[in-house]
Amino acid sequence: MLDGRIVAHRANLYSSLTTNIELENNNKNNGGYIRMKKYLLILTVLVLSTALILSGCTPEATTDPDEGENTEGQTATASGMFTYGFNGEPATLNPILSTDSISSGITNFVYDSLLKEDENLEIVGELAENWEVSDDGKTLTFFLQDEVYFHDGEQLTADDVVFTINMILDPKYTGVRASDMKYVEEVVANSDLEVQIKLSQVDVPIMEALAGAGMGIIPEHIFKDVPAEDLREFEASWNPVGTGPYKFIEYVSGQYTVLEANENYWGEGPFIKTIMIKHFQDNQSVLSAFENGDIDYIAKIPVEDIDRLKENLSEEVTFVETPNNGYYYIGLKQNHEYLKDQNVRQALMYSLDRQTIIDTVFQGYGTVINSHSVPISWAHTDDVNEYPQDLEKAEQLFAEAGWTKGEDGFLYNEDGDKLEFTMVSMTGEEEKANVIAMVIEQWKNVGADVSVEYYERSVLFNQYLDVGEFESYMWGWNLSNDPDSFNQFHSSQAKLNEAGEPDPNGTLKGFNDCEYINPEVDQLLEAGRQTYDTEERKVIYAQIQQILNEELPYIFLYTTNDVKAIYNNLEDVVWSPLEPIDHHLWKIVE
Amino acid sequence: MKKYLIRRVIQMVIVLIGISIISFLIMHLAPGDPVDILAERNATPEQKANIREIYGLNEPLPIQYFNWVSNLVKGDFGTSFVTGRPVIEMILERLPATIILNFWAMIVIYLVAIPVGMISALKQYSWFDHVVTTLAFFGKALPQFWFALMLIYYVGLKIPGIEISGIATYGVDWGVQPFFTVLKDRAAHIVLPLIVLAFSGMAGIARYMRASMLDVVHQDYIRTARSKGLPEKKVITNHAFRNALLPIVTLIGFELPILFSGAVIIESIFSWPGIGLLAINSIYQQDYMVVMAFNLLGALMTVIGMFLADILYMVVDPRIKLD
Repeated sequence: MLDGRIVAHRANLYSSLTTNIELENNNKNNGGYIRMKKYLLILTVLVLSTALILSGCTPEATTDPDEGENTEGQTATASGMFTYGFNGEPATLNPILSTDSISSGITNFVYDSLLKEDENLEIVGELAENWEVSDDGKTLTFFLQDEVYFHDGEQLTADDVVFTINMILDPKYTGVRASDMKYVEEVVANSDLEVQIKLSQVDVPIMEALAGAGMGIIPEHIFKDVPAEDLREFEASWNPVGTGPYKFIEYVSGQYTVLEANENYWGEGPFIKTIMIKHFQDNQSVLSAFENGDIDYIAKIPVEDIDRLKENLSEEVTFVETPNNGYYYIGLKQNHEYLKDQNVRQALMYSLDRQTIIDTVFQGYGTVINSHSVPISWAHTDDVNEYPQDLEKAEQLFAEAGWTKGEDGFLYNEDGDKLEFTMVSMTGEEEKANVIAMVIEQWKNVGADVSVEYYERSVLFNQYLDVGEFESYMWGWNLSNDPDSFNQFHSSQAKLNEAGEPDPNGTLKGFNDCEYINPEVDQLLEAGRQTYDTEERKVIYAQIQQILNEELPYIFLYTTNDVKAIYNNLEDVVWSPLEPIDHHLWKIVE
Repeated sequence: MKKYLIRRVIQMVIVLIGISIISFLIMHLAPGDPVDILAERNATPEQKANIREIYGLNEPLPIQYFNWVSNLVKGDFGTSFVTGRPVIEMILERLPATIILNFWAMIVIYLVAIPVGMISALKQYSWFDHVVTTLAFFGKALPQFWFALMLIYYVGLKIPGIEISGIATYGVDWGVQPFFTVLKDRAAHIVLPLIVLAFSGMAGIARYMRASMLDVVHQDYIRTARSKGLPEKKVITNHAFRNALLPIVTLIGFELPILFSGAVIIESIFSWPGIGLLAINSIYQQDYMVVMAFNLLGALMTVIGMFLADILYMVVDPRIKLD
């Protein structure tokens, strides 16, 4: 590295000398000696700054990892480099603080969680070899894999698991994992390889939380002296040391994150030596980098480019269409003067041609959604009203609710009030805005006059959604693989008064911002969290979906599909229904 | 002169204090706060209050401002709410890329625009002048993002060896590889963003130079120079060119803040790891500390740039006396 710099300096100094001499010759006759001195000065400054800049832009020379060091007792040798792109930068590299998919996408390589989801989205053990649930469902015992080592050589024990969960339970913890662990009463290490989690009440969704990348087990020996409030600032939050298949090498802001195969990984693999994650700032740039072969995998091809790419790259690339685990909807205030009438809500639903919206805005890459569930969920039921567009039925339902068409084509009630309300949404999202425009147009056709107001994100949340002050709004939910929707539809999550009763003038407690109150749903939601029996839960959540489908706290709209693409030189790629997983099993052909 | 310098420095300090207050207030008066980003949407008021306390956001505004400024004076720009990293570190790791790109863009712009402007003035209303004028308007009018995307698709993807994103190939470093290999790699990365920046930046300078040159060649002393029989070449290079350059030289002072400010569009399209993106992302994330540091840095560079412009003016034009 030093040599290169010296060469650079020398080359520049040499060229500056020659230019100066030439200048001197040119200026001699003009007696512009003083001016020439000025030029010399300027030139020297220029040259020096060039040299400085050239040396300044030297990225930290990457320490070439000692390849001979870790080969001992190793069967598989990893080779090759898998490159992919993220649109954005990680906000942290500490799994229990991550909130964005970029951070967790990186930490997922470096850390292991107790559990994980397999290619069927079922929960299986990762660091936990197996686990037991006590008869009352309130004690979970996890038996850890033996001989698991952190990247610095320390062995993973039950204490690390206890430490990680206790860090989240610390009142000074500033991350977002606390609500996942809210029913955890105590975590104890029964032995080096046995952890017990005691719950204050049965909480089935905690299994899903423990299986997430966000619950990566962090090493106690590194983090033990850090107060919870300083976790984000602690340097190991940017230099992760985990037990995962890849070791963290470096993150260069705005450029890349590099991970190297952990040759002592406890599980199978890894077979690819290097994972290079490039950070882009624009979806078009990710796309062109993929087309150029700079990255091997793209998680989402913009819909308007899918056909072109399929044509141009069909030979060297595999395309996979995957659904998103989430959906978009329009939330309707359930105690709104006009919208509280179920007939009106159903009529609004019958007025919409949602398939056309999907075909227009997403070029067909999406699916109509009819309740709080997506088709890939194990708890999903298709046994619901599909609300195909039916303008006659809509008109009839409006009429039943007392709305008749006036001369201007809009609906009026007996008091002469027009059927109008306002929808709020977020600025800066083109697709959503296109959907809203089509929805409003279709509603206008049946006589409902809906206006839309766009707000900047923090305004939208602070002044409308998080305080529950709106008539309607458009938003989406990212779902987990657990079908629980307690936060969205249980009455305890709506606006409550001081006595804890639902009250439109109270404070919003959870995400039930539409203030949907139904004791039957409350009961089902509670029951669904209390049983580990999947068949039993399927029945419960199907019922919930059917009730929501009929009563419509939301106008359920659509879920989108992404088209992902990966170059064919990658082999043994494991796909879950949602995305490629288990990178440690992949191989690369060079 | 000394008096003038002292007065200017005092003025600069006052301006900076004013700007620090304004940028502090803008961030704190904007709706929302960093807690929205840090806490979950359904965090309890206690959790939110807890986070506010940890980051000192519960203090009254004047006290927060005082804390911030007293740390600034000590050279501590604070810690980012989002990443938990020192702000100065986040800025410094992005700054070199921005400076490199803007520095070379400036060099290219001046090297091309000055002669182009000069020639189109000397050959006023010739075809060259018309072409340059048209191109200049094009350069100004062309949306940068469109031009950049066109370059990517019709140059970057077609011509092997030209890179379309990033600043360097991983592993190709000074000293690790031969000098020219690295140079070639850096050049392959910088060429497209440089073209975009230079093309849109050139227009203004070329027009400026043209106007300035036109102004000068109609001066009396040029006529005098010609009438005393000096060859035209000498008239232009010795008399006209140098005087026409005066206003351009002072422009360089104003370029200083530009050198340190990132070009957001260019940076995002070419994934150039510069400072502009950091600034924009920090604004979206309500990362006060980073945004305020940016504002202050920009203000500092502007103030220093103006100061340099004044000094430069005096250096190149002996008629001007500052006091």
